[in-house]
Amino acid sequence: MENVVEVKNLTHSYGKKLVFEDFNFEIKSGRIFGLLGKNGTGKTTTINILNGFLKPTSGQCLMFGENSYKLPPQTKARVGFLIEGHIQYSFMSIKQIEKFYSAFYPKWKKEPYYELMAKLEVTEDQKLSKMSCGQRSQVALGLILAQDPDLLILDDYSMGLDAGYRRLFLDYLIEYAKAEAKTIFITSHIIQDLENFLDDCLIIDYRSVLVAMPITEFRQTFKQYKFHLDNPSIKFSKNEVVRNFEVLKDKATIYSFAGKPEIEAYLNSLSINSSTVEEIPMTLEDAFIGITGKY
Amino acid sequence: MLIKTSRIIYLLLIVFVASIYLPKYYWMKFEKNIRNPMVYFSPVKKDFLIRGQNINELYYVDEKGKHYDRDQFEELMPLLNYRQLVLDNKLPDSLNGEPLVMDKIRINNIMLKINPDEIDFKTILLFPMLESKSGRVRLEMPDDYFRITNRFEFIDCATNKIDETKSACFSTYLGVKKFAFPAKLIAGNPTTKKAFDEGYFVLDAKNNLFHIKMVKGKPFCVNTNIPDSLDVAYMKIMEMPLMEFYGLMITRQGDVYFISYDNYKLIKLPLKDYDITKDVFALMGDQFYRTVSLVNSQSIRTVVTDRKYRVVDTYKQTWKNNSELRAGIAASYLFPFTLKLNDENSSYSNFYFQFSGSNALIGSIIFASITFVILRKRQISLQKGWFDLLLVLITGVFGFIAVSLVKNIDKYLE
Amino acid sequence: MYSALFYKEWLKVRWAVFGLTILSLLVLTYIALDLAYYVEFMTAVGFWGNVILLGMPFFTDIRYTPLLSGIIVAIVQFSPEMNLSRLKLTLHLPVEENKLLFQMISVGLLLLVLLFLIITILLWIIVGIYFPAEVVRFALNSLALWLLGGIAAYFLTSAIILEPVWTRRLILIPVALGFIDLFYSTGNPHIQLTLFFIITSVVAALLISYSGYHFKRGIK
Repeated sequence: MENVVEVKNLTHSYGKKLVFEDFNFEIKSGRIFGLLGKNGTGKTTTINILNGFLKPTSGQCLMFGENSYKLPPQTKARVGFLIEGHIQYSFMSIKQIEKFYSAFYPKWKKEPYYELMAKLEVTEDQKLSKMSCGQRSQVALGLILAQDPDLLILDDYSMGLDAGYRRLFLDYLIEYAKAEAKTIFITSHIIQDLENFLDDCLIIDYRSVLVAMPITEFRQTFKQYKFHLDNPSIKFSKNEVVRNFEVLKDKATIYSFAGKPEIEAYLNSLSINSSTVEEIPMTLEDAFIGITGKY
Repeated sequence: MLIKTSRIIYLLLIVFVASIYLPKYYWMKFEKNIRNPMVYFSPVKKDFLIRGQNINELYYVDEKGKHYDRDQFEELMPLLNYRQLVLDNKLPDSLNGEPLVMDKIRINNIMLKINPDEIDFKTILLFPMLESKSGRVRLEMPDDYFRITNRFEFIDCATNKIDETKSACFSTYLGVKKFAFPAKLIAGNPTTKKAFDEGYFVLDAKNNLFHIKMVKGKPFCVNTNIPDSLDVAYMKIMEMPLMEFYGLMITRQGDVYFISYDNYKLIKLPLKDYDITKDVFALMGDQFYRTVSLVNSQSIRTVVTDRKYRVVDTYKQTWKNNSELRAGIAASYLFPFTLKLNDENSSYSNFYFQFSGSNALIGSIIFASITFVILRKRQISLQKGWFDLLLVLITGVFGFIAVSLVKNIDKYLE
Repeated sequence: MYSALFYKEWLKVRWAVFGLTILSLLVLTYIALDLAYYVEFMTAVGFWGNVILLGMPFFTDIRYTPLLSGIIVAIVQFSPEMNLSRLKLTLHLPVEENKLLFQMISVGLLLLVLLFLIITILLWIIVGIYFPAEVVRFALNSLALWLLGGIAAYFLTSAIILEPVWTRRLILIPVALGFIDLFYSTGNPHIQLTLFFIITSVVAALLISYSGYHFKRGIK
């Protein structure tokens, strides 16, 4: 399976401020890749570099084997890009914008676009500026579907959308991705929707990569353990075993990649009673918060 | 490549704009208004009198430096100031053996001034042909204007159409007189504020000069038979009651001729070194003398002749113009050249490019050295920064400003 | 692809172009009425004398219309592009960047040239009603410089708007002003000067790629 995107030792700073250092990841063909992280951790920077808007301070970002900063137009045509906030040429109408984009992409298929537009119940001449946020997201999605790109990059598709539109968006996307085996790169900070959608994930924090693995592996290996704490004043610290912890009165929670026996052994080594340790199942969102922390 | 080219254009644009505006503002601040002296020749003293200006005061001196007050000056220049002297009852009855009579003085007093920007100027080539013998006291503007292209055409003002009859009439007549169309130069005095009208003097395509006017509606055209070898730059026609000459003719080489009433005989003025692009030509004439001065920004050269155009005396005075004063010298170090699009010596806009001379090289070298240091500091190698350095060396402060403002981006180019 | 881009730019500027065309027509109408007025009140002979012998200005009302047109079209065309998200949208199009930029500019240029052509032809006609070719030539000669100034203003204003680094903008603005001023304060140009102005107006277009280079780097 080829790598649609390859990122090697990517480092970027704005002036003196370091955003991230030595990022390494690959997006394989046909996979749905999620870049997750809290606001300000460098997701948008990564997207900018990926799309060639920004030149990284050091390191390499390759798309379809070519330097992303200097993508030739033919390669650009294979990439579909959804901008944060579903930004489009709002002075155009539904008909005008389809007509506009169709000239640029050789594989353009207007049927999926108009199918989606039919569901919106707006006229062809409706200007985008006069449509609601949710409706605009549909337009943006429709345009990407019509473009039929090999790689879709979606920067925070959920921004400004209420639950209904978010779900609609994803439904369409999932169906499209599975049917055509497309590669999708998606960033988001709303995790719950992506539960059954992502194949691979990359979870980042300020300046470091926390998790880089297929979702299933993450879900299977990252666990939440709850136990009773006799001595609430015991201080935990983050280390190899304890990726994150929370203490509320006499209830403690530990997040870890370790198995239950290891956790019990670790607690024993700290002279903590490990008999009440319980593994609690998590949703993806729980896991995300677990690894990144609540603040 | 495109980026590099556009950066170079950016730099050149800044140099261009700077080389126009910086000297302009510099001189607006530092230019001293140097008043040119005026030179007179006194028929009484048979000597020169110079009028100068010290700040706002006029003063009169002679060649030896002796000062005169205004009354004394007026008495020494009776013909120029005859009206004042008559009022003060100081006008002598005769001078140099000739009686002084008001009418004769008035007719003989002439004054003519030609600026370089009059010479370097092409007007709209349409002229009014006045009726020179209408029988009326005052001259009247005609209803049409003429032009001389491949024929003589009158265009009616009100209808903007060619008057075919009148045009054909004049065209044929000129053809008979062997006028070669089109006209190279047309000179006249298109105004009604004169005592009479002498029409136009026209240089045809073969460089022959014709005198053309309209008499009782009919064309008048005479070949003046002036040598066609003259490289005529300009003609000024002035109808003077004196009726000694129709006007004067100036060649590109700086020769000045009067076109006299005596069968258009040319009278050459004994002038030397008249640069028509820089000198102002000023002629004062009276009963006895002709005083011709050529004035530019740093000198006045005057020749006085008698009425038969024999030289009587000459005078020359030079002074420091702005470029030689302190501000000018400072400017010559600072600005390697100045660029102007308008010049007081021409009515055309063009590139008026002035090199400041070798002084500026020192300024340029200093700026280039500073640039070199800056390039080093910005870690730009000579290989990439050579253009900038060269630009500063050639254009001095202008290039320096440009290069400082537009950072060399070569180090960012992949 | 070019026609699609033309379409997009047209959608942005069409109202401005209509408005400027109306404005130009109004000014030219005003000039035409003025001329009729002068002929009536000065008599044709008197008017001709004032214009030909005394150099009376009679069409200078149109002087700044081209300048205004160039600046307004540039603003209307490029200000919307300076929003960060819009920039990303445009840069993502599968067209080489500089080519994209120049195609956008060619649209504004084309529309301006058309407008200026209309102005030229109308002025030609209007002056030609009252005056012979010599005067018409004189008027068009003056107009030429003003039109070139409008073109240069279009390019320079675009470059200024596209320039994301404000320090560079601060430099470009006075330089542009100084340069454009030359088109309007210079009277009666020799042919070399006119040629120079033609060349530099055209070449000013290249400055846009300089700003455009920073276009991309301006994305933070």
